[in-house]
Amino acid sequence: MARDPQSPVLQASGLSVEFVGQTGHIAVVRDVELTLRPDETLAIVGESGSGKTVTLLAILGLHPPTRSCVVATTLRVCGVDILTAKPKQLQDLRGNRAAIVWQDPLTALNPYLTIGTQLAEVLVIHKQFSKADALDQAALLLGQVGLKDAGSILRQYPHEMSGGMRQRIGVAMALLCQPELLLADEPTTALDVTIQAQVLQVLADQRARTKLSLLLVTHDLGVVAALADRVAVMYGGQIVEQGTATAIFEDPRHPYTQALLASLPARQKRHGRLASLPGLAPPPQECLAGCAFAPRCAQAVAACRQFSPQLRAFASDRAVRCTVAWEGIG
Amino acid sequence: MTQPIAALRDVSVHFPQAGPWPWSAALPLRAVDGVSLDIGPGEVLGLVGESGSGKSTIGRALLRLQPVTAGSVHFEGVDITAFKPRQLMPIRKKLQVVFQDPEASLNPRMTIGAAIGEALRVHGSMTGKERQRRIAELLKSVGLDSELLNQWPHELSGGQRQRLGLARALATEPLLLVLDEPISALDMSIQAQILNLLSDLRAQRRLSYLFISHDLAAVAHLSDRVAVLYAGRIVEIGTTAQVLDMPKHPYTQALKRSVLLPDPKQARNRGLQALQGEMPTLQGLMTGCALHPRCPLATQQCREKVPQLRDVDGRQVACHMA
Repeated sequence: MARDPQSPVLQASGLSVEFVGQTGHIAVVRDVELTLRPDETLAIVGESGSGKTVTLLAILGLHPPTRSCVVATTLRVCGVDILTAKPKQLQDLRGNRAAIVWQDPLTALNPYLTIGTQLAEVLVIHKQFSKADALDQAALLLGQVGLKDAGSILRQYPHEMSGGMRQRIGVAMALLCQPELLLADEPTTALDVTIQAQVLQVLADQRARTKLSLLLVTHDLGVVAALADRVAVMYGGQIVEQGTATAIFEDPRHPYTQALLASLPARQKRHGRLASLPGLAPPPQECLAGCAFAPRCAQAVAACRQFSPQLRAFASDRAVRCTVAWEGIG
Repeated sequence: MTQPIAALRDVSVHFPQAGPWPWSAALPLRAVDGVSLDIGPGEVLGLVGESGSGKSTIGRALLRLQPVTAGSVHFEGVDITAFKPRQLMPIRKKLQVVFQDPEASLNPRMTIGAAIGEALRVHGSMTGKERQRRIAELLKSVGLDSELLNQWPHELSGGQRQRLGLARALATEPLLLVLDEPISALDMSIQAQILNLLSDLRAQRRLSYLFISHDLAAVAHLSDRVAVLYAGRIVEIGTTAQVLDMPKHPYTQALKRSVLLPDPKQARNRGLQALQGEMPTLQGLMTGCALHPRCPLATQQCREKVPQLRDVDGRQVACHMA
């Protein structure tokens, strides 16, 4: 299938996810808008409960329909409309043209199967490789992600690997079919810093080697700064600010982004006071009227508690969801 | 230097491990090997290292929660290595701990008031009324509402639970707190709240901390001195400025380079500079410096001889090449 090289790999607008609970529907992700172009890295940043992982799962259509309700005006991944696609189309997409790296490689790998069996299976199913060819290709990929002695690793089991090795295997597995889109959910959160640097290096190398679009979900602003071209900041299930990485870090406009950056010890004077956000992120069922951030916001005015602001673009590739910030922009 | 509040002298902690067969020789896992450190009154000593480097074991050895294989533990100048549980009671009052996961360290069947009250009951002789007043005071000092008194730990958020963990540790008016990864389980915006609280409490109560963390930025922020651990040994120890701004040990240097700066411009200029390889297994005999398989500077000497800590530019470094 010939595709326009500039058409987005991922396009989502008006994406909302509700979970069906005993007490009714809870809106966990509301009105998310994302575009990921070929060869670009977009990071979704937020704290726990902000809806970043739920967004990621919705993009691959992984929410069970019995317990959740996903709606969107557009949700296209590699040209496939996720919400109307047949199971066969989704299977052809997932793991093949759009692959995912999970946070915890130990639970992502099957403990009963050797590494070789699990890696080869991907190619046998998606690319109709023979098992022997698939193992050869898997060995090649393991080498690319920096694992030496691939031959013996293929015969080993996940429990025999260290955390760093398992995450490299997770990356290799996701890259086996040369996907157009790689999604990564907190890929280095479970790792030590020196190992984290190694795994990020692998991701950066792969991105340089192939035309890979990367959607990175993380809470770590250091990881974002190292890899992302563009950033979407999530709070209370919504994107509150979007822009290039440089713009977000140097000129944050949303009070939440500003407070988040000011709370990092690495960006502050040592031994000084950290600017800390009072209070807590709201649980999703409480984000009803007004701006979700208003209760914790130092700049909030009366209007913030009454009206939910829209995500408004104000420069090329920049948007912010904040009534107060708009006044500054004019 | 004035007399340290707490000190470890050549402390080793080895865990016995069974061999593959009943008759094979059992090689111990050397979690901590020959570690000495001092914590002065009102001082914050940061202890950094990756998982498995022995950080928490050192904290537990200092608290006498973990028997030591060799060496001695001192508190206020007294050797407490061989103290019996009864003798330890008055020490425990002055030496408290806050754990990483407040969910696991709080009894889910005890109300918040009871959790703090228990410490007061065991270590003091207060009347019920005095105790209630003191609990309210403690809650206030860690920024918790005293109305939470009759609530349960599961009703609190992660940050609130960590505050409660602190209130409970402070109940006996300790001199030294061992903080074992106190902010790692918390969200970013909450981490800053707890770091601020820790520095406030320290200033108000002249507390000493042993601050155990893998987060270099947080350690740099709070600590006066820093000790860097690798494979159960201290590889570098000195003031925060010496160790974290101008590190001399190749491992400290690599650790510092691996920390990702939340700043895209700097991150891009510097690129990713990863230290290759992984920490060796601590079981069995290791020859030479534990870092030598990963170290770009390693020589024959590093492979054969274990480097001892020695003075280099005002701090101590365990490296043949520094």
